[in-house]
Amino acid sequence: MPIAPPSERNWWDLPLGIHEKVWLTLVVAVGLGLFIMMPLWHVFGRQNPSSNTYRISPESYATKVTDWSKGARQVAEGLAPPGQDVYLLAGRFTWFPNALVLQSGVPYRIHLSTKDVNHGFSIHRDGEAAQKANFQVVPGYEYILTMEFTNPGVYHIVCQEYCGIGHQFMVAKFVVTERG
Amino acid sequence: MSQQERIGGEPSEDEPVPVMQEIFDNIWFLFLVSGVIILVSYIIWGLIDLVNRPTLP
Amino acid sequence: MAAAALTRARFWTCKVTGLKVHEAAVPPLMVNAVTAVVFLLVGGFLALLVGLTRWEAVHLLSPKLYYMVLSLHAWSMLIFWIIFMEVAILYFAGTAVLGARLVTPQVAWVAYVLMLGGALLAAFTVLLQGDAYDQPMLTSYVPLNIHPLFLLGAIVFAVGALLAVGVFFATVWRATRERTYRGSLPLVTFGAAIAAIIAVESILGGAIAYIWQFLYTVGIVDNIDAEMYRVVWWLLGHGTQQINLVAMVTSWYLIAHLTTGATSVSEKVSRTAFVLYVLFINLGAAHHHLSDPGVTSAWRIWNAGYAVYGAAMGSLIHAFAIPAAVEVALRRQGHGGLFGWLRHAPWGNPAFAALAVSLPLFGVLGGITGITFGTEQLNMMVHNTLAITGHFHGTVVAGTSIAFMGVAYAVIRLIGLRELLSHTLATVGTYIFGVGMAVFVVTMMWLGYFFGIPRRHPDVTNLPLIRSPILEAIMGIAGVVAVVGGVLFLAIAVGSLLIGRRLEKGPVVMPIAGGANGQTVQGSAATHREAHDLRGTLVLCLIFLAVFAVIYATHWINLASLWRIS
Repeated sequence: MPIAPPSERNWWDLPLGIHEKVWLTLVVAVGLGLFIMMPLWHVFGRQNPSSNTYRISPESYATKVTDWSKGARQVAEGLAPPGQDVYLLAGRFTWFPNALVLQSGVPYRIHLSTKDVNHGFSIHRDGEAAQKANFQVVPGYEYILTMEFTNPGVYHIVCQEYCGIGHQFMVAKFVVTERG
Repeated sequence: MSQQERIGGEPSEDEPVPVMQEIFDNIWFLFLVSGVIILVSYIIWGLIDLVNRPTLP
Repeated sequence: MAAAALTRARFWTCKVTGLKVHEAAVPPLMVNAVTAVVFLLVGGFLALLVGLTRWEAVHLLSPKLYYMVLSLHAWSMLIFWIIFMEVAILYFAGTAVLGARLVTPQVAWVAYVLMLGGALLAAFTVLLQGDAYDQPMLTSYVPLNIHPLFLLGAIVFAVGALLAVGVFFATVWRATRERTYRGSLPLVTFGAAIAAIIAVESILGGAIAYIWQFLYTVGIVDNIDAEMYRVVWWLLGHGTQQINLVAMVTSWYLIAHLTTGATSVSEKVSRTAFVLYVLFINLGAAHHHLSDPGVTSAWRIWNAGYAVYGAAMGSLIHAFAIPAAVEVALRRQGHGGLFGWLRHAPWGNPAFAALAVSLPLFGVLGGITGITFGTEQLNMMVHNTLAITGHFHGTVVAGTSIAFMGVAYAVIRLIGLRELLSHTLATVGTYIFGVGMAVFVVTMMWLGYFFGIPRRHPDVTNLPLIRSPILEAIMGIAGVVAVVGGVLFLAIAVGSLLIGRRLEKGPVVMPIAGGANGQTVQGSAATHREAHDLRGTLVLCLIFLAVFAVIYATHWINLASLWRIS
């Protein structure tokens, strides 16, 4: 019983029953299967978190984003980036820029960092509840994610890491248009 | 011999047990191995990952 | 000298279990347990306020109050209630189960005073710090502007907790040397020791993170790498919840034994599962870095995957071994058939009800989602959404808290020597709590997973997200139902201790050096086949695995429908 030492001195060599053996075999198989799924998806899947990160001071990153935004084109719905690099600067309690115009079918390198505390980059396709992805935005680190949007439409961005009292006002969007 | 004394000690405490059981019975050793695993696999490897990130000016 | 000390110590014998209880161990044990319950009371009240805020139709609190209440709720529940209770469980497993004395009760009191003092300092700082500082939530990531006194409180609490764990280890060490038991440690003490090891690693990690951050907030350290802080801090954030897990599993073995006479079918199988925990479970802290910059995918996969899912295998083994023990015990009492034993289980016993509710809820609501959300790629869909909150309310509340309630009901009778005010009400309360939590957790995960509603958010009504007011309402109502169940538990537990009928104390005895507790149930007459007839459990576990497979596969299919991310 569990509140006394085992009744047999050598419990290691006691035989198991068939039901236990079946379950233990299944458990090992499940563990291996779960583990192998992750590297497999890196090879065959299309959705993987990036490992592409640089260290950069929050000030340098803020300067870089400002410089980059000067080269971008202002259109009606927001800022159209000059190339395939897209920069987002998080800060209490705004995103800069807060509206970007992108094209579907183009692989964009989305750079994420913050000038103050941790923020969260949570991107949701408008009108499609389960179409979303979430990433952590950490000061001192420039995280580069490659995203290629399949469908045109609006993609809402909300901050989902607690960053202070104005957290709930931190929203932005990507307006994805048909590739022209 | 009272029932209380008999428990857990039968037939003899000196009876040899398999090595695996000895390891399982030694919580201090398990403590050590557990500490090494978390230190090497999670902490040290994780910090190495962070430190090795290229720095941008 | 050791023998003399042992002889001086006074013990009494529990009439039900035959356990020898060291008199000096009882006050620290009970005081820690009662303190835990007080924090549960506070945390439960705050839970009501948080729940009624997230139910957007009610939206009780302003953002400022919401963050304050949420910070206190998180600390009361995830740290204070759980760790005080775990200290009580460690003292129980180290003394009564081993027939041993508590080594240095004075240090146990010092540990208690530090823990309580630290907890109160942290809690009152959250209440009184004003607008100049950020609320810590549970996570207090640098460089948030956290009040140094809050961090000091957390550090003092951590030191106290480490000291208490030290008392437990010293007690086990002494018991081994004084030979109060023979052979291997009893399974419950072994599980408690595993929990204690995990506790040292995680609380030490937390103490380092908080000391580092404290030096930063008072200006001694200039700069902290925010990502390194996250790596070290999550040892505490995740690790403390793994102490819960192991203490809960240990409690399940204990409750199964106390209510049905169950004995682990195979010591080897049960202990292997515990060893898998101690070796790998703390790697799970990596679950919080799956969508982070900084670490590489190789690190994420290896650590978040518990080095080939060792810890998950451990949980799956316990999920089988505990019902298996109950099945064998009940079959021995003459209840056959595939599920006949299950029908004749003591469903009306509040401690058994706690086992019967918390084990499946933990497995389905906490376990399956934990593995799924902790998978590197799948985490992208749920990171920092309400689905995560749903997951850990499945583990910590529906699992651990209900299991601890069951232990509390047993301990009140066995160690507190008081009869429960009402067994019926205690049982009904447990089921109400379980049903409320189950619905609450499922709606939370639904809101997080399908709608992407963020966690720790004071007002989602203005976000450009699709919402489901109906689900929000169900979540709020289910939360209230769970709170009602929790209030019933508190009323019965506290009421029984205060005005319950006194139970007779066993005779005061002198310890027999080298003696152990109780007697074995393993009859040699039972054939191997009968002792391992686990058909019912195997079928239940296969059903569980099928549910797991469906949920896991659904997540991958949904992930595949997203745009390309790399």
